[in-house]
Amino acid sequence: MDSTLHYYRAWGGSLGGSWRAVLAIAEQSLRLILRRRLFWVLYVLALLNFVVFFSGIYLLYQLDVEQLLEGAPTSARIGFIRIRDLEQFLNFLRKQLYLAGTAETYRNFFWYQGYITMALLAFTGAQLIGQDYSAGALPFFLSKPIRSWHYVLGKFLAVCVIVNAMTTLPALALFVECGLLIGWDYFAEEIRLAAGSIAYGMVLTASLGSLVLAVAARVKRTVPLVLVWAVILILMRGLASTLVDGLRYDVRWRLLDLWNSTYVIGSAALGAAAKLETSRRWLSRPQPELWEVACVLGALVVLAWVDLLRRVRPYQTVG
Amino acid sequence: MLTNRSSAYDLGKMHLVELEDITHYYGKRRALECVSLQLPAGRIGLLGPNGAGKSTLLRILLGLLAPTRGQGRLLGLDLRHGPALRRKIGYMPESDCLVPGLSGVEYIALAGRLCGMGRRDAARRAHDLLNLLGMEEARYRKVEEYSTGMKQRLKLAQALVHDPPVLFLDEPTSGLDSDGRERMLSLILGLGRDYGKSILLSTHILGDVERVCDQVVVLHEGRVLLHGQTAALCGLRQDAYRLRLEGDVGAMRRVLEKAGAQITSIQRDWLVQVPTGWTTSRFFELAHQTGVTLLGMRREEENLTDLFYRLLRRQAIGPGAGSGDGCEHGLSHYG
Repeated sequence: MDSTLHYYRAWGGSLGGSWRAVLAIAEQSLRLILRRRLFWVLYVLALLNFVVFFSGIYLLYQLDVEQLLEGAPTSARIGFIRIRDLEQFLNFLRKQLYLAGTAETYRNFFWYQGYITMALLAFTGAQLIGQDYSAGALPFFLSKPIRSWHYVLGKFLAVCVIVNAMTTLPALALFVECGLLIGWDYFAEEIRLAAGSIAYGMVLTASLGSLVLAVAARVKRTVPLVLVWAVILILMRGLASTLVDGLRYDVRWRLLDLWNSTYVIGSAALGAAAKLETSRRWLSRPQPELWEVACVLGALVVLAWVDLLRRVRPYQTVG
Repeated sequence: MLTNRSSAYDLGKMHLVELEDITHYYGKRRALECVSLQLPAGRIGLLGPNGAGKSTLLRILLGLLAPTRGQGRLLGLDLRHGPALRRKIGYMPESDCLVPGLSGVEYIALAGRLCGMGRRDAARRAHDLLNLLGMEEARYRKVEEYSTGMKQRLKLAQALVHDPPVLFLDEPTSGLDSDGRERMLSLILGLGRDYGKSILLSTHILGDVERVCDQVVVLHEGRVLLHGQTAALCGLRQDAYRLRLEGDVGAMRRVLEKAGAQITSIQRDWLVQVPTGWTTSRFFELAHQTGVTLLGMRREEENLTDLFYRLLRRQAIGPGAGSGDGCEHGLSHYG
């Protein structure tokens, strides 16, 4: 092997700043996630919700146009499906599913998208950080000319892309669809909905992204991570609902429900009331004050980052 | 372009490592105590048994861990300047440190990008290094499918990716068979000797240091037990021979002990520790004198642990000696 060293080439290029490492870590993490079949299964499931909204908006628009052109018909036909009471069906699409391109359309889209986003985050968390711990890859990253926060930031960027590909991006696609169907004025008049969707996505990214990384750095393995994640997001939601809606405890107990907290802030960003879905109906339920929700989420994000940076300490890098 | 130039970093005029009273505690547990060293550029072995403080010293030299007390410089850079320091160091950890799911070439390219290389440069460099290390056929295989020897070479490649002037190699021959070990040591020796890389080789295998390094630092219980030329340390090694005899073994024992050898019986064999300058022909002469038949003879090199404890006894640097707050410099320099 000594002889092969005759072919050793010294490298004379210049090295860039540590920000390059952040991008490299994000890119590598995304690459690994996108290679997993489970990711695509979950992503396709997430897109089903998008397809329902997308086609619902289109259907509502088409039926509205037909109704206008044909002078309020009582029935209609979509392919081989016959709608007997068109008025009732339109009301269902407009007032229960909120598919008219209003703030509620986007609010509901984010709400439903939450379930699959939570599942996907549990999977990505384990892939992003848990695997680096279990495979002993942390020394590889932290012995390079970067600081531990570069590593965490790179992983967080990857989570940002995943969360926004699941939520914000499809929501913006719905916004474009509404604009194209309803008219160009929609883009100008309802631009706050696009901004609100982006803000909602940012709230989800900051809170869920930080939390999943912090949990992954502690739990490390996929199955325990999914269990902890389920406790945080599903069990706590059930508990909060039981305490507030069932036992009539103080409304602040709803702050235990992390997904609801992101929903309250996201709804406010969209300019919609943060109604809760009960038996397929959207009902007004007591919600904590916006500032209370913001404080709890903010504190959670700060705690998650402090814990995360404490866990990813350089002195864990040498055996 | 094929080049054979040494690393561009001029190490000739400065010390590789300068440490002044470096002490480190993990909570109440002492890991390093008053380590003061001035090591010139070159191939340096960092020897010591488990728990000697080698890994802690590496962490401090990599700028990953701030010492509790003391200060130091590596290539003139303060040890507190972590990322700047690590730009000049290629580190090969003992653990696998691979990223599962990546291919070999992706892994090395990622290492390059973490060091600040552009995407294209990193990819080109990754291919170069994998060719150099004879892994061109396996470059697109997943790293978790590699054999132990390939993993070790891959780890060396990621340390070399940004062509650093200094390499920290932590147990590079760990898990390798004798052939793989020899090839790895040749490679490390070549990088140091032909390409001017300064190498800090952390190991507990004296033979690895003897093969590659021209200097050695021996750590024991967080203190520098010895440092100096490798040849001088190896000269201190007291070799032993395992003998199997037949005949009047009592007479043979007497003459051996008279000649200064120490004998330990192991089942039917004797383990004979011989004084410096002993040659195997002496055994045959003594066997002839005493009428003993020498059925078998095998040389057994003194292992590091035995050498440590013998040197400890000899130099009376007992564990815990000088463990007060002040640093007493009673270290043994030789060679």
